Amino acid sequence: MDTFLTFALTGVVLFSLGLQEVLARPGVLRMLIAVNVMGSGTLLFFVSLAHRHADGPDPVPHALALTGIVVTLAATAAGLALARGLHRLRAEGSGGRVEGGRVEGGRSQGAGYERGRSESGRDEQGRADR
Amino acid sequence: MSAAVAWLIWLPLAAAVASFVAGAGRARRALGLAASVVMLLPALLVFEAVRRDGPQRYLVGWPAPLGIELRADLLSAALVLLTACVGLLVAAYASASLTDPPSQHAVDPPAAFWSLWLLLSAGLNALYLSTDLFNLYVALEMVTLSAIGLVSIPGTRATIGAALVYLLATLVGSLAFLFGVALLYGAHGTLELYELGRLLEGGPLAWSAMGLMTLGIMVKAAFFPLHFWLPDAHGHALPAVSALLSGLVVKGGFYLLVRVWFDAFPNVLLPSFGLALGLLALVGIVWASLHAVSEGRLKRLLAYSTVAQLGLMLLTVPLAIAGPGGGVGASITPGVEPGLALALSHGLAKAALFLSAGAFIHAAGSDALSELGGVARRLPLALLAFALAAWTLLGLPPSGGYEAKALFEQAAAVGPIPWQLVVQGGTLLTALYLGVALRAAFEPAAARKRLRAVPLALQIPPLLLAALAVGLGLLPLASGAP
Repeated sequence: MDTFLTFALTGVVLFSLGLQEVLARPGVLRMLIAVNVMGSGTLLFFVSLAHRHADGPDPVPHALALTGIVVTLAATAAGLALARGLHRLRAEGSGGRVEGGRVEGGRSQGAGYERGRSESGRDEQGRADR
Repeated sequence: MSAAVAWLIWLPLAAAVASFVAGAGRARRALGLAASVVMLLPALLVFEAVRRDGPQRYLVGWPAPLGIELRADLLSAALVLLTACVGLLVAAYASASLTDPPSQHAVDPPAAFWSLWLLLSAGLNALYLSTDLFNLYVALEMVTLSAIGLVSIPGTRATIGAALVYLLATLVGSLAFLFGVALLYGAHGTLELYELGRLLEGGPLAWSAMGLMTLGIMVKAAFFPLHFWLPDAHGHALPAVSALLSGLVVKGGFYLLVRVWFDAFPNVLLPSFGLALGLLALVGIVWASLHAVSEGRLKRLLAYSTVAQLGLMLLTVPLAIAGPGGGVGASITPGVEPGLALALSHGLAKAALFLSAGAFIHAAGSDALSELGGVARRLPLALLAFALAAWTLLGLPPSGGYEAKALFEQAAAVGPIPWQLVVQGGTLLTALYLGVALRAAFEPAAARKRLRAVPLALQIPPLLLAALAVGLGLLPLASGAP
């Protein structure tokens, strides 16, 4: 089996494994990881396409895979921030609010950091679009 | 002219970054409002140019082949203009509602709104103007990520949970879309939409790529049966955010479906694909409308209505496939005028409905239908906005919705399948659930209940939106195509 097929098929397998795990709905964190496995599969498939260029590797799939990594990173960061916010609210009991990094009546300080992170991820993505 | 198109993307992007670093809430608001106003100008310029001279191509950045090509036809230009109009009026509403301390949602004016809204509008414009599948993917991600951020603004359990479900669903959708893009690149070595349109022939590869991409878009656009995340996300968000999501964001998904199906896959399409999509749309219309009728909360009712209206928009696809085809790169993606007209009128009308719902909720302190008694008497302007928007959704003349329905019936008359019956049935169901909402507003107020005063600034924007939606019927946009 040649290199292209190995990588491409691995990509397909990773994508399907991730998808299967997401559809089983095992909980937020596992779903986020599963989505990342899916993403790795997709991007691996992309990178494997570079091989089929006549003179040297085709740079386009690499550029696209890089952009895809940035997008997935931003989305994962946003997902983790949301998951943490949800976890904290559940821990606090009921119906509280996360405002600017503080849980009302709570002691935690971390959410502002997370929120900042997820937004800078979005900016990065905007840059990638230009 | 080329500058105007580039403005549509970089202006909101730059303003989003600037408003993110601007410390004071007031500076952010001023920046967000100013950018929303200024955006109207390039949107109008591009729309005028397209209406006068047909589709426009622009090369941004370096000369070909390095530069990024942007393309505006009537479909994209009209949606860019819709984004600018709805965005401006929602921004006006948000600037009044998010600074007003006693309103139900805001403890602090959520500063995140302005950056995220500007990012969202940059993403939407990039989506409407891109000609490259990968750029479309990136723009779509920008749109959904900022939409998710907007949903989560109130920071309550309900909104964070809804945002998380939205995020996970949409991530899976975008990866499926990306995989389809990779298949196409592997087979043909290009991602340019029209180039692919010329190259692609029906076959297992093209069909699987199309299937993956369609599934991805269906999740993102919340087409039945993959709409499960929408009612919570649109129902729990701030009213201004719901207006943006239902008015604009779902149109992005609809646009992408049309663009990909008719520009990249014109030679791959079979009538049976359209039929399958039409049947899904039919079930979705009935299912979502029935949910809307039995819903006890005003904003969730409106969210289900969005799912139903998306079904109606989707009907344009089987009609366009069955109808007379245009060539690749025709002046407007052929046969989708009914869908476009409906997207425009629904975008304006649904934004008006959500904003006037926001005004009702502001007064009543709750969005339960049973608590809305008395708002009709107290908020005549917001009620007028609600009624005018309902008028448009029902497609009564004159209005944008009537125009859209007329176009639907024209297109369905030549085809073998009587889709116009579905449109008429959908209208009947629309009347049912909007009637439920209006009746709740007209109930007398409960004896001890005191309604809070609502500033005019919360009633004027929905009224203007609804007036625009009705006004669409007086200047038919779709038939103005060159």
